Amino acid sequence: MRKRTSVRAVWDKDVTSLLKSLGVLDSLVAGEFQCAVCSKSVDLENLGAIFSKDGAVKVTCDTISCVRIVTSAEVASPLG
Amino acid sequence: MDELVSALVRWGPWGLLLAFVAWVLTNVEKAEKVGGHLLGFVGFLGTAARQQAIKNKIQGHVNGFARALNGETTGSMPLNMSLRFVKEIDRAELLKEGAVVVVRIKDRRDDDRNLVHAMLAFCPVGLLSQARPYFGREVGLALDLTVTRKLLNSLKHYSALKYLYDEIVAPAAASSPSVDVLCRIFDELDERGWFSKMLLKELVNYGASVESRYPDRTHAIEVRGLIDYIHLVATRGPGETLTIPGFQSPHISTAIVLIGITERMEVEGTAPYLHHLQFLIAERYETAYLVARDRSIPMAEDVARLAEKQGLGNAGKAKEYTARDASGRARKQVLIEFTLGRPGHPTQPIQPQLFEADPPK
Repeated sequence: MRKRTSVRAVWDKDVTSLLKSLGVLDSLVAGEFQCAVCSKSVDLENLGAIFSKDGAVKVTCDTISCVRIVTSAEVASPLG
Repeated sequence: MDELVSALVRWGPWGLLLAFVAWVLTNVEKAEKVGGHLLGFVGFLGTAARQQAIKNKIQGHVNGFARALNGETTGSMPLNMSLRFVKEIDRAELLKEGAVVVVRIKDRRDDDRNLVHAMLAFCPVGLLSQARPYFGREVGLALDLTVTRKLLNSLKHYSALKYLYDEIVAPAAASSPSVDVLCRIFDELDERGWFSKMLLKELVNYGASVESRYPDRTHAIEVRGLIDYIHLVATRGPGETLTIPGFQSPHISTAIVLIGITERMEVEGTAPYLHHLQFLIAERYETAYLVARDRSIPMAEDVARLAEKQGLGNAGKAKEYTARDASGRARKQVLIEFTLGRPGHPTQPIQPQLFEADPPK
């Protein structure tokens, strides 16, 4: 049998409870969060990924290139 | 089926149960899909059943595709995906594990976004995981978008394909011209059947070769060089002569040998191709892909067999498939991966022989 690797997912209806458990729901709804990659304002509609960095909860917007910066292991491109 | 019947006759319901368990264990991906469909019928019972149905369906599709791709190119997608739903997560746990929650699953069984986002979240850990740190971000993204497109194509999931193109590929291409270029290159290679059979195979080998090195930009340059070489050969014009025998870098050493010059084959048989393999060995190439189509296929198989007999290396299994040529015509093709032997000490330098395929008729 093939080995499995986990991908963490959140049921859409559970997003608010997840954010609440992390203590960031109110700040996110208030528009205080920015995408850790492109600095765009992030709210419940365009939330892409949740992660931690330097001891703080961070988020990205739902743009695929921003989500991948925090989930992938590739080195920076030599082509720009 | 015979086993199922004999088990039922011999052991009764227990035999049936045993046969069922055996089927599930050997067909995990199909069982997940079937489970997803069955749970879908009782989805009205509650959120948990719907959640499980959607999870099983996504896992079944992704894992079935991953198994098939890995069967075609061993090591390309060796893992299955397990969607782990996170309801509440302790802040300390998130900070400690560095866990990333990336996939938002909508409460609709056929929501196009669910499958697309799950696949795109799985690819960075499930596709070419060993070589992944060395690609460069643009190559990694373009590979993942291409593989996701192949998954949706295999499922004939056209609405999800539209979502992928409109909402993900287009913005990614607009913000990064190199992602756009790479997606087009991978599409062309896929059209010729070289994406999974050759490029992914080389990247699997690359991952094994470079395994313990510290990733830096020189690795990404190597990978990009390989991609450009394969693309150059794949898109050569009719009658255009190849000017380089292959691609060599610190961790990649591969050459594509096109077998298809009818006049030479008729007059000289396999000799020029065997000579060229000797040249590649002398130049310390490690792998050669023998490629032919239509009536040249038997010649490619002869070259592989004779080369092996002459101790030039080891031929892999001939992969026959149908792919489109530059003019868009579907043609029967063969690709044989040939692991070249180590060079001896030739008394005379071996002259290179470069080849060009038949122009499309």
